[in-house]
Amino acid sequence: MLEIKGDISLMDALQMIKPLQGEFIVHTEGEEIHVKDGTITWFSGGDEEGCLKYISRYTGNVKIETGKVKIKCKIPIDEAIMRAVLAAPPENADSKSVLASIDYTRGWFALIKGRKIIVSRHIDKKKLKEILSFWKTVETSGKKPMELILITRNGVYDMLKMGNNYIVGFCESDKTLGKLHQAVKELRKYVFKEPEG
Amino acid sequence: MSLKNLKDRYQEILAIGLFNGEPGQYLEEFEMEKYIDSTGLSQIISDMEEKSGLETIIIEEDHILFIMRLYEKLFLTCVAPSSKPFGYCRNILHRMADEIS
Repeated sequence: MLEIKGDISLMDALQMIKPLQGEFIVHTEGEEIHVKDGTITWFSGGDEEGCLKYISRYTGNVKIETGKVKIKCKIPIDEAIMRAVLAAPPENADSKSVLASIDYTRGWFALIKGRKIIVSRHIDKKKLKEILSFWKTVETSGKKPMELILITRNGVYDMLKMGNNYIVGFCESDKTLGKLHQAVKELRKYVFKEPEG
Repeated sequence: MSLKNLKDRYQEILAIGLFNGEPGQYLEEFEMEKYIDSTGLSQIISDMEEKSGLETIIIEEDHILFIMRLYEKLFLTCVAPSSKPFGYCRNILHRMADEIS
């Protein structure tokens, strides 16, 4: 088993196992990618296109272990990386373009600086206020969350806090929790960059 | 299936507990008090229920706390190390919930 902690790119991790024969399960923070003999065979977070988008964006902890893979598709790692690079957002992308590129039909996101919402998409302000109060409850209980996820009957909330800034995301199904988690993490880099107003 | 057996089986899990949602004590627990006491847990559950919550995942620097509603007044809690992906740990939580139910 190989475990790499930190901001490792999923593309780099896949490159490492590309020449290896055998069956491997690549764990990220929320999803799994199965690889057999240098070919991606299964992605836990959706279809082939979703897999490529995920590969293009993910950085974080990665764990690779051997194990029996599931087979649903066959994408050689070389091809997947090439297509993922083409699908990646431009380096100067801002948070709005990141939000726009994430396909959440009924989801919403918000970046909040202090008490001001600086960027949002499809936001439900009433729900946002309600859900932010949950963070305070958790802190009152003695916990010190870096990230907080609440799964309800109506959907999934994912929240991150950086100083007085919050990133909040919502999607309707816990089946897309891995994607939501990744998107919320990705938005971290924009919290301090976005102008207010 | 007892909690002790579950903790032995899923060795990634650092702590496990069953709770009725009220401050007082856990119905049964292994190492949970190290991470959150029953008063703190009942505060979170109370707010979680107000928001129609079924599961809560709290990611801290070195551990992840999961709270899952099994029945109206029965909650399964467990703690996993932050070094594990939360999706992987959540699968274990659901497997344990199936075995308890």
